[in-house]
Amino acid sequence: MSAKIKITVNGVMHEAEAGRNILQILLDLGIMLPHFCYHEALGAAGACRLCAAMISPGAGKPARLEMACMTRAEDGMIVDITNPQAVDFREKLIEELMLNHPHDCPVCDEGGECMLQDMTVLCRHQHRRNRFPKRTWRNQDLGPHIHHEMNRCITCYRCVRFYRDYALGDDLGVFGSRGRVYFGRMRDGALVSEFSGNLVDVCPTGVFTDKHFRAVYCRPWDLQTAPSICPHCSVGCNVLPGSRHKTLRRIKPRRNHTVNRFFMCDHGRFGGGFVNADNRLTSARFDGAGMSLDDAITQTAERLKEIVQTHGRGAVAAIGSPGASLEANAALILLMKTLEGRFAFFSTGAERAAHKRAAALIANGQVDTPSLPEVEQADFTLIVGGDITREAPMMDLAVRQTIRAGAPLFIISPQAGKLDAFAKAARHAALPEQAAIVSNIAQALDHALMTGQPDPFAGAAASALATAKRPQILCGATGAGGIALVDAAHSLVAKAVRPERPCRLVYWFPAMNSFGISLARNDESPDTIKQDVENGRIKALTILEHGASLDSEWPDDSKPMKSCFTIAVDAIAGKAATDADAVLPCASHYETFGTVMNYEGRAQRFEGLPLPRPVTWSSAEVLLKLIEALGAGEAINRTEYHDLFEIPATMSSLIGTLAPDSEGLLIRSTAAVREVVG
Amino acid sequence: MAQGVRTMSEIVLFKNIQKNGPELFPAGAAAIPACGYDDYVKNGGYQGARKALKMAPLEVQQVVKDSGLRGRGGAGFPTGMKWSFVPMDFKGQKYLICNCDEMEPGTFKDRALVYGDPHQLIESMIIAAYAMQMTQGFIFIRCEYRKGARILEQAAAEALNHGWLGKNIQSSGFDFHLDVHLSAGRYICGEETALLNSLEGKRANPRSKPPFPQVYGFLGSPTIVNNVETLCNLPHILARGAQWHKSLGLNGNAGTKIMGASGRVKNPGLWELPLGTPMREVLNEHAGGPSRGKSFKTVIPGGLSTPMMTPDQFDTPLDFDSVAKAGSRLGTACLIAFDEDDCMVAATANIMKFYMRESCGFCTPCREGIPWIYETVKAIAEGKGEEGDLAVLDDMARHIFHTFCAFAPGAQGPLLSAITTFRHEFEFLIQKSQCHTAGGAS
Amino acid sequence: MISDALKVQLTGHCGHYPSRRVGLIFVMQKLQEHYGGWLPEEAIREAAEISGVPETEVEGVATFYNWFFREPAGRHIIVVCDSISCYLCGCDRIAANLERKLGIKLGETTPDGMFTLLPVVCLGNCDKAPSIMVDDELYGPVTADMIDEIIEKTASETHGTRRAHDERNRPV
Ligand SMILES: Cc1cc2nc3c(=O)[nH]c(=O)nc-3n(C[C@H](O)[C@H](O)[C@H](O)COP(=O)(O)O)c2cc1C
Ligand code: SF4
Ligand code: SF4
Ligand code: FES
Ligand code: FES
Repeated sequence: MSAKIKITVNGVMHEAEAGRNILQILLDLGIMLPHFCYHEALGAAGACRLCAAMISPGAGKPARLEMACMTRAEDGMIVDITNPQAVDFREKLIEELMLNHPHDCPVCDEGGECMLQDMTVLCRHQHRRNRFPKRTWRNQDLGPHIHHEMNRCITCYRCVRFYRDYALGDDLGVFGSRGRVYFGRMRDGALVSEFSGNLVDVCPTGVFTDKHFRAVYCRPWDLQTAPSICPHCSVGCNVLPGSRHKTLRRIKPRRNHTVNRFFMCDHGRFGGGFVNADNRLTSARFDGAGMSLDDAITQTAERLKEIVQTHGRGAVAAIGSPGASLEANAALILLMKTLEGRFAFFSTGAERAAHKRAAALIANGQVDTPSLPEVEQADFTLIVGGDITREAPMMDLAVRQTIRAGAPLFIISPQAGKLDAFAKAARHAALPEQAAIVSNIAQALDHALMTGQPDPFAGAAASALATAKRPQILCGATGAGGIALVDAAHSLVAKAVRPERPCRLVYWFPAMNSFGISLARNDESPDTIKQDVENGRIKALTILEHGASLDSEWPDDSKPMKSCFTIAVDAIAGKAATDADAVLPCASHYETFGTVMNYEGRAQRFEGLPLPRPVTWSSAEVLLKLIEALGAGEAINRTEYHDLFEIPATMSSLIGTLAPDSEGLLIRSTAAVREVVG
Repeated sequence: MAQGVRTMSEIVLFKNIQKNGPELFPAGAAAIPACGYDDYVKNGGYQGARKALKMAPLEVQQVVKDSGLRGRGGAGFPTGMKWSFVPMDFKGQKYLICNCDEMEPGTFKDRALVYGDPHQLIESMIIAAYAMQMTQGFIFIRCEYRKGARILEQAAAEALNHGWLGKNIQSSGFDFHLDVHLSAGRYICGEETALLNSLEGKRANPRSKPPFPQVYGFLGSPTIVNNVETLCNLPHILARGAQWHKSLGLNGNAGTKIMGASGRVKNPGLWELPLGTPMREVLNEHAGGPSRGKSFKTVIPGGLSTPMMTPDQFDTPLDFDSVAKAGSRLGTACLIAFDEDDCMVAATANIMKFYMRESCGFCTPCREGIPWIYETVKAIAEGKGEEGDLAVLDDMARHIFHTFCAFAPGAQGPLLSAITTFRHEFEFLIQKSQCHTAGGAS
Repeated sequence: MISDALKVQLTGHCGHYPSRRVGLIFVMQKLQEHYGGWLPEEAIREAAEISGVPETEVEGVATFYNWFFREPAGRHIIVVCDSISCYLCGCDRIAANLERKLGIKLGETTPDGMFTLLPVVCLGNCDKAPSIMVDDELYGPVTADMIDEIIEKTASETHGTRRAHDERNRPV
């Protein structure tokens, strides 16, 4: 715990954490001292000079006009932000920034969420006195995502401080000097960073704006929003999608100080296209005939009953989706319980085994899994098991923070990746071979056990690991590395852990809710289900949100599901839904609510956008209707999450009460974890 | 100044530099042949360093502290005290940097020291480096002094040959490597933290302080940045002692100062004079009084970035404290003189153009405020002034003080004094659209 | 393109320092010399490669300092001090004379690629105001009638200039 100090702000004494700057403290206290260049993640720069306040080191000592962000708070300091000299200074400062700024606020696409606008109003600058020509710039084409409008720049340096200093990108820079400072690329061209979209948010004015949003622009205050979770990977970034007139217009990161904090990756930000896509399922179908969803559900229920009667137990099966919520998958499992059917989840058998092992280790508390902010604190990182930049981009950004702090990074990946440039050493090997390399490192940690010619990569990684104070291993539990890789990483951590020194371990997963469904009780290998569908043993198959499942291999067109009656509960007319006998459309991710579990086993609640749309039910609701139509509505109320998933009973009851703006619920921190999970 | 005393300028013969007139070009300080190693040694060169190398490093620091030497780069910070902030127990490499960026308009003293007597600077750096046990030194020299850079490189090669640089200097066990870094331009590089960024191959934006360079400087290591002239005092202080140096100044000031005069003086030039020499003596006796028979109107005393002083203040002794008391700063002690016929509005426009062009562009008041001030002053000077312009200048002149570095406060000095002292000229121009002086701008 | 020898020399220079970046300004100065007085994009790329500094940042450095040119500059660079002492002593007249003589404005290059004329801050030659600098040579006090002489002397110089001028780089 850091020490507390006392500082007086505008005559009121406050307690604050020591070692922070005055601006930080004021903002945390909810006191809005105008500022531009300071950003919680990017720190203080002292460039804008707006955060001026009268600051005195203590009672009886003279106060001076100082920049709050450049002043470290000391015990006894007295801060006055209302002093006329400070107020006047800030007003003049805004006047300076507005000298060259276009006066096009009424039609500017940043309007309504522009920090410059807010600060101008806050500082009460009203009259333009400059009568000289304004400076103008040529804009650049920065590619498909980001629009550039340099004339709006107020030179706060936030963009380069984010893009270059924070995200370690090297194709956005600052050029020129004096009154002609330019922020952009060396030449026109698409920004290459995976995190370029954050420029839209860090830029306090409208220099960098979302090109996709511009194309379907509406006033930001007209957007309807809902707190959601990004569906694109297992990090579970908190996001705020915004919609208007039946369409999703844009996605922004939503602050959550235990997950993504301020930022998100471009894949998530610009990857909401599926909501507005042409291939959305809008109407129900049964045996080729269009009908209402209610009718289709009734008919499907009848058909399922018939099949069970005719073919008996085991003739009915379902495949759940890591891209769907806990609720939807729970409803699917319950449906199978009702019908005494079998179920699995999309992916392969080997992958499922790996996911289940990794999730169990985390749920059991057998590994210490860091949150993203904790990942940033490590002083040694080994990445193994996949391309983290593509598979868990925000974790890549967290690793970049360790690189900035000078921590060594070692990478074992299938092929060259973007983080290699920052690694002490990078080793490229196919996923199935990676477990052996990890074991080599474990061996090298233990010189006595070392046999034969030591592997220099393993040796270097081991010696860096041995001397680190806060080491971490990030392991992809996504695919071909299989259970062997999961275990190898765990063994390495077990060996590296010492009483005085924890060694953290992340397993990242292929999809948003892979972790959640990995805890399912009694699921089969997807391989056996798929096989039994293909060989005709399974007569009815319910497929949940295949469109979001990441499994594009299956169903395989070359092996038609001849005698199987297929039911697709989906938002998107993908392969499964096109061929299905019964199509039960549902709302897409951003239009519905639910709970998902990220790589840490953190259950997070998301809400749906109130999009007026033809289909208003979530997949979970559709499935529950189906259960009711089967006459088993009773079971719904009797079933708890922990009946279906290996989660503590306490967590089970809390899931329904989770607030979307909370920190979520970590499975390992819910009580009685060890009792419930073996 | 005491006769026969060897000080900074003995070898560099200033009378050559100060001689004005239609001499053949190339002229100026560059025309004076640099003093070579043999001549330098013949004149007592390297004695100070020899003495220093026999002392303990902290003893050398103490001598410098006792000498009362204050920085000649403009701020007048006591050199010995600055050095004492260097953590002597630091394990890695520490750096000594000589600031020869001299771009302050009206200032030309460092050029003389470098072009005329390069070995004096090298000897000085050896002493400073030894005192703080810094094994790597840089001379950061402005791009326009590239001939000077070559002179220094040549001298450094001679020094190396004679065992004064490199490993185990004069068998003392002390290593000192010296590199000459030719800058790529821009005034802001003279600001010591901007200089460090520049030397590291970055854009020369200043850094925030703390941490101070003495603790966290070049490449994050303890670093001392000293002005050329500050350093050039060291050999003499070491050779003759702290007390001797103290005795050189007038009214309790320590040492001499290279003072200069340019602008509307008859004999512009440089003179090494005791600190505390009255401004009037420099203007009239050394610089020969006004150049075109008009009386002086104002003097900017210390390079451009210092507030203007008026004739009633000409008795001010030129030392750090007296000039500060008179409301200005000694700065580089290179006087810029204006006479009755100079239009101070046009002159202010010229001054602000300099700051506008040389701002590094990092912080708002400097980057945005100064161009606005310049446009406004220029409009007034051109007879296009408007009601309200002076209010803008008043506001902005007050405003450009709270900036990231001392550059913009430097611009504030001459500006604030101009619009205060010569307000009537601004008002006259705004009302009448013509200059109240006979000649207007030059 | 630079020669292997130059590349080795510059790479070696960067290697002298604890951080290669320290050598960047020097590398850029040498490349500018090599390319006839300016830094084409090729030079920015080479400087980036030699110093290990990303190209974008090299460009940031190139556009910060006034002695780096990102456009072709003349074989001879004439800089006219327009700071206060030279201003008092008539630098505006000198600049106007030079403009007339060369037929270009401050900031421009003569069509034959011979001269670039630029304003500069105080040359540290204030006692010889007004001052100008032509390549490495400093002149002052400059009078109107000296200008012809200076220009002719400079134009006739085939040696003594550090610029390895390259025909390709002349402005069109
Ligand atoms: C804008 C600006 C420009 C400066 N230019 C120079 C310069 O050209 N030469 C110099 O010695 N000091 C210059 N200084 C002062 C340096 O920052 C630094 O204080 C000085 O080099 C310290 O040396 P000293 O202690 O020996 O005086 C400048 C300061 C500022 C704010
Ligand atoms: S582009 Fe935006 S973020 Fe970058 S400096 Fe300008 S205003 Fe700041
Ligand atoms: S005051 Fe001027 S020179 Fe100094 S940091 Fe600010 S912009 Fe740069
Ligand atoms: S927020 Fe403090 S100077 Fe910009
Ligand atoms: S003002 Fe021109 S050389 Fe100093």
